[in-house]
Parts: sequence; C-alpha cells; structure tokens
Amino acid sequence: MNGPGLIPYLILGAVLFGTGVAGVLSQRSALMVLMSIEVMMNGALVNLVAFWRFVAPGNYDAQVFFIIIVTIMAIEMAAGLELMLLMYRQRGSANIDAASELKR
Amino acid sequence: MSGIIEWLIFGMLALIAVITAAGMLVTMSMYRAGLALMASFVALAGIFILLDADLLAMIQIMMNVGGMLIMILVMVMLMMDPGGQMMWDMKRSMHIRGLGAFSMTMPRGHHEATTDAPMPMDDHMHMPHGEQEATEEGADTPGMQHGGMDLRDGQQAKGAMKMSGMNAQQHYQMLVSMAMTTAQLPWALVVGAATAVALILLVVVTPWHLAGTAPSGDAAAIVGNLLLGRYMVGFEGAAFLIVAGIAGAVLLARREGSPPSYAQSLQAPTPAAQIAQPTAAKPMYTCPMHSEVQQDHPGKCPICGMDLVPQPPQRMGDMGGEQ
Repeated sequence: MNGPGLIPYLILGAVLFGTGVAGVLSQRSALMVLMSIEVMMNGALVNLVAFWRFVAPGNYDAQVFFIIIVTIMAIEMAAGLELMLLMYRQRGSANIDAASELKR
Repeated sequence: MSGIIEWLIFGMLALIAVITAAGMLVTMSMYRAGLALMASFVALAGIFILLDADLLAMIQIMMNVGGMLIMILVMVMLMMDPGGQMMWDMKRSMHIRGLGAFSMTMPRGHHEATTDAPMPMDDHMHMPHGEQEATEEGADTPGMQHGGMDLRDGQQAKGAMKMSGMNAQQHYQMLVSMAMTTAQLPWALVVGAATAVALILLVVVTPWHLAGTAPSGDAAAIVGNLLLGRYMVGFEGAAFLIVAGIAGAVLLARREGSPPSYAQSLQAPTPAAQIAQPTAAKPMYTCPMHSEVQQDHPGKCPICGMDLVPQPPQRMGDMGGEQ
C-alpha cells in the first residue's frame, strides 16, 4: 500500500486554510487575527510543498518560494504586533472593532 | 508496510496540526494560544519531512517556531493576563458555564433590566466598579483577551449578576467587553467550513498531472545555488524587506515624549489628568445657567445676575479614555 498521495495533503491544506478563515473572521483581538492569518498561510504552504513533491519534484524553485513566504510571514507578524501595540496605546484597546475611524 | 506507517504518521501529524490550530481559537489563555500555534507549526514541519522537504522543515522550525517564541515573549511581557488565570477566576467566580477553560464567546441577546438588589462585588472581580463602557483593562496591555461568557443558563446569569453588583445592562456590557470572539462567530465558522469544503472539492475534482518521480539531489545545495543565482533579486529584496520591517517596527514602537510623561501616560488617563490639574489649579467660577461664563473670581453672572459657583477644572483624561 502506498503512502498518502497528493490529495490527502491538499485536503490538509484546505482544512487548515478554512480554520484560519474562521479564526480571522471571528476573533476579536488583533493578535488573534494575526495568528489566524499565520494558520492560513501555513495551509497554503502545505499545498505548495505537496505540489512540489508530487507534481514537480525536480524543480526547486518551489522551495525558494517557500523560504520567501516564510520570511514574509515573520515580517508581517512583527509589523502586525507593532500596529497592535500602537493601536492599544492610542485608544486603549486592541479590539479590532474599535478601529473604525474610516467608517462613516 | 511502509505505506501504512506513512499513512499513520500523516494522519497523526495532520490531526495535531488541525486540532491545535483550532484549539488556538477557542482557548482563553493567550499563552496557550501561542503554544498551540507553535505545536501546529511543528506538526507541519513533520508533514514537510514526510514530503521529502527536509530543508523546508528545518526552515519552518527555525523561523516560525522561533517567531512564535518571540510572540509569546511579547505577550507575557506586555499583557496583564497572558495565562488566562484572571479570566478563569472571573469566570468561575461568576458561575458562568462554558467548556472549562475554553469557549469565551459573546453573550447572547440582551438581558432584560432586572432590578436585583446590588450586592458587594466578589473578590475575584478585577474589573473596576460600575464600569459602564466596554473598555479594556489596565495599562499597556495590547491584545489583551478577556474571556467572554457563554450564558447558557439564564438562572445562573441572574445569580452571577447579583454577585457582581451590577444591573443587567452593565453586566451585559461587561460580558461583551470580555468576549474573545465577535458576535459573528457562527458566520465565521460557516464561512471557514465553506471555504475548506470548496477547496477540497476543487482539489478532488481537478486531474493533477503527477510526476511519479522522487526528488533527488541535495536540497540545501540546490536551493542555495538558486537563491544566489537566479533568484538573487528576490533574495535581496526579502533581505531588504526584513531590514525595513525591523526598522519600521522599532520606529513605530518608539516612546513618545520624555520619559516622565511616557511613564505617566502608561497609567490610566485619570492620573495624567490629576497631574495636569495642579497647573490649572485655580477653579473657575461659572454660572449654573450659562456655562460659557468663566471667571477666576467669584461674582455675579453678567448675563442673568446669578451668583457664580466654583467649577472643577476639566479632566483632560476623560476624552482620551473614551472608546
């Protein structure tokens, strides 16, 4: 019996992505939204690596892409933490519903 | 035989990854949320090893787990209740039901304003007395999660309200302010599930062109050559972005103003206003009917002739504390 093929990994990526979406839409604190975005990106990364392995294993460009994405994830986390810190200092709360200045 | 083992390992790792990612969303403790996300990352690193991407697994562990460690550090340093202990105590003392240390959601609906006689507040309550607005607690505690309460039992809710010494409206406001998820939680779950199902359908239906070969070659060497060769621009661009991100983050986190005023601004707005008050120490005298009349000595109102009464100076901090 063979190990899992392409589809199970893609399903895992899809489930992770869906979990991240649910988290982004439902969490109240900006920090939790950030962490849910990380979960979504991880789902996409699982898909990326699965495609590399099963569709184009000779082409290592996918791994370079992975490295760049993970780097961007780290930067985004830092920038998001920063914004949250600022938001808290300005208005006394990290509740993203409170950031509604652009609303009419 | 190895196929079955691979399936088993895949199943275990996939379950860990998904369950910890979902668990991150329902826990009331920020520290545990960070740990859960870290566990999810490690499980995914295991998945990458299953996929013969050892280099990527190592990169995942080094960057993401390290990043999560830093995030947990930030949480523990800056937040007032990173472990969720305060929320747990509050939840227990108010006898609110829920799934143990989890499930802090928005209270459902409005409670009618029952007029129970207010009783002294429970010792475990850390929220300020008679807090009207839905405010977050404490100074400089970004991203602080308060656990919301899942009031499944109206009877216990009334009991909780009695103990907390607030009326129903205040109680509701407090629960709203302490909720961990927004009121759109059911919709969020539906949208998340729909997204996952749509993606799974897409994946299952598409005829993928599988290569059927195994990866060969030293991944690290090949990727290194690619980064320094064909993808040099992207590599350098990422490096530049990192530097810009770090510089920007440091710039944004810079303390405003001189150290004493910053320390004061860390406390609740009221002390800042109290410190500002001595500089406006003279009470102004104003007319009870015409508040635009301001004199620094007692007398009579020029408009209506009433005696001027002393007016306490404006508390500047109030406007800053509004939400």
